[in-house]
Amino acid sequence: MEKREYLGEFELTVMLALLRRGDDAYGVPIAREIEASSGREVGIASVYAALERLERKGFLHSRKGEPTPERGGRAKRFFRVTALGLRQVRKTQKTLVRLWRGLPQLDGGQA
Amino acid sequence: MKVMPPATATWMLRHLLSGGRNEALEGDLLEEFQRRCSASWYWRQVLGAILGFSNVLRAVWVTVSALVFAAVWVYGLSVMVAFTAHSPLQMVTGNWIPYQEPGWLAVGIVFYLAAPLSVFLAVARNLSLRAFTVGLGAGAFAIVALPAFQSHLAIPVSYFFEYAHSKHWNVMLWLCGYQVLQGSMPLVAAIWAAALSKVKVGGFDPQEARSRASE
Repeated sequence: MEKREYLGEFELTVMLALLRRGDDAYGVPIAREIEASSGREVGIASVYAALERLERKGFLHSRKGEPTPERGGRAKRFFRVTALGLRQVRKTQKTLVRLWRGLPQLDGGQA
Repeated sequence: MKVMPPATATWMLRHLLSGGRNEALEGDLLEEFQRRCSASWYWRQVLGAILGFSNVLRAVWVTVSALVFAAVWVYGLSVMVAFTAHSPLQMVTGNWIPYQEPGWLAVGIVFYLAAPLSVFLAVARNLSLRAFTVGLGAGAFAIVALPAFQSHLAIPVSYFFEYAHSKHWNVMLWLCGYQVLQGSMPLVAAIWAAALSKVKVGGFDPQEARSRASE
């Protein structure tokens, strides 16, 4: 089944941020990680929309944490990358690296 | 002391989010608000969540706003013509718009093209040359499909008021239906053209939104 098994640009960004954060990854740290690397404000809702899409595709798994007082008693939702998701990130990386190679227009184009 | 985010925004986040409440998102926004202490940031995030969390909701919102705009434009135009047809201006100029004169004909075509074109741009939210061309094509299609719309808009409306006064309800209803049909055609043509154009703007793709909705 190859149906929609590709990563969009923002989805790939979210996956990489998630891999960087490790097991404590939920909406806020993921958004901060993306903001730190891209230098622009990221909508937390956009991050959640991407996370839910990725979970539907089977690239992520989520679990509900405990409610905490500093969050008004609302629970966190932790995400982690599945084996399928990791394979997809590698596949996307290989594709991009192949496309990157040998491009004279890009200074230092070797990935 | 704990700073609280704007209560109205929080209420909107709880009640207007597509797909029901999202506890994790609410908690995340509250947590991040404590760090940033910015009401404007919180509002941006909430509005972004309501309008952008669901592509389907966003598509519906864009379409509804386009429909309202088009309805105001097309039917507002009809009402304006109906009133001005009985104004002193009409008595000076004779008929409403003398379409037999090339200059006025051009004005009329631009006027009627503006409605579907505006609707198209509202739906597609794209001011590219391609969007403009397709919208223009939709408007031209509407005009060709209904030549009467081009030539005698004022006449059915003035008939409408005339028959309403003399209580010929059947004629009035027929004219009313005629008006609705006239007004709807450019709108339908524009939305159809927007859907066909497959434009992707600001990360929003109507085709992709539909495919996601059907999954």
